[in-house]
Amino acid sequence: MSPQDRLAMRHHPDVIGQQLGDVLVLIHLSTDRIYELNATAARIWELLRENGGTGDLSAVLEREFAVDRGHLRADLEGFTARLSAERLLTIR
Amino acid sequence: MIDIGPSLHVWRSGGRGAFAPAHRRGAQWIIDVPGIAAFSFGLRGAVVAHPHRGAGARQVRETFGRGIRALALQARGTEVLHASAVVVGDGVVGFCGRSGVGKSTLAYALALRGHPVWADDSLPFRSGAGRIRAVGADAPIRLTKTSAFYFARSCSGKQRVVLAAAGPGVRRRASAASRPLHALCVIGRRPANGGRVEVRRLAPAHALLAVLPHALCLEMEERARKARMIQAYLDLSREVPVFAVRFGGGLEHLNSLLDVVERLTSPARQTVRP
Repeated sequence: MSPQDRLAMRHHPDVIGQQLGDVLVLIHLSTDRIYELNATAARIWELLRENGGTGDLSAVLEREFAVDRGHLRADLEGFTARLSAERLLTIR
Repeated sequence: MIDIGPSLHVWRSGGRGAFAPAHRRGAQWIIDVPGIAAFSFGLRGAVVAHPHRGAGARQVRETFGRGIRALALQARGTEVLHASAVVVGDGVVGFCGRSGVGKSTLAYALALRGHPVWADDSLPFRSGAGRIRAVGADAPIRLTKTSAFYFARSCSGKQRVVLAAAGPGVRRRASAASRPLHALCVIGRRPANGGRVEVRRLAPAHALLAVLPHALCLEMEERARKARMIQAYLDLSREVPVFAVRFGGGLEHLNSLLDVVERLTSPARQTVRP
């Protein structure tokens, strides 16, 4: 379990998300920034909503996507760090 | 690959609607248009104009019709696009674009082809139950001098009478409280294009990015209101076909553009997906 997995990560309450075609669009009401998430990123976003980031996201993703665990963990950590930096997530 | 990097966009919610200084005192808005009037309105009731010295009643009414009304609608919960629109079939087709790109000219030219003008400059719409409906917007078309001169020269005698009767504009002939919004065209110029018209149907996410800059945004301080507005534009981007239309040259190429827009927005095309 990575350090990110042990933290409670939640969607920022100022973020609105909606699937538009192939991408999940996130709009941050405070920063007016708009993001397009591809299918993998959208799945992580959904998992974060479902379990608040407290579960082992990498284990779930490893089961769902044919990816190497080492790469997946690195990607996941980078992705959640980016979401946090953009204030799309709150971490407690 | 987990990707959010290349697709980040910044939308400036204060970018539209501030054509004059706007102040809010509680639930009351005051918009001061220099040389014309200070307009005040709340969440319901009449919009009150306090004319500045020397401003005529006609100027005040025109300013109300061309901008204040739309801002009041937006403050009261109806979304408004900076767009012109015509009636096609049983629905409405809107034309967004930056000021001066030719939205009014396009709407007027389509009206002369039998598609009544629905809105000029401000296109209110409502979203609900997966449907997007254009709301009636009673405003006369206002053409630039170049466009008015072009139509005066090129129209038939009967059409010239309409122009003469209404001065530089012609009132909309469409009558209905609301109609389905069938399509939106985001109009842009490409001067190096000659008379060629480029058309591209936008994927919903790109449609959102193309349309949102043309949203009127007066009431953005209240989080819940802003969230409702964003949701309305997300719904619009998902439900309404949005086309990017680029054309070059001047009014001499207008007919090519009209042909393309008519083909694009004919009722039979509304079910086509990208």
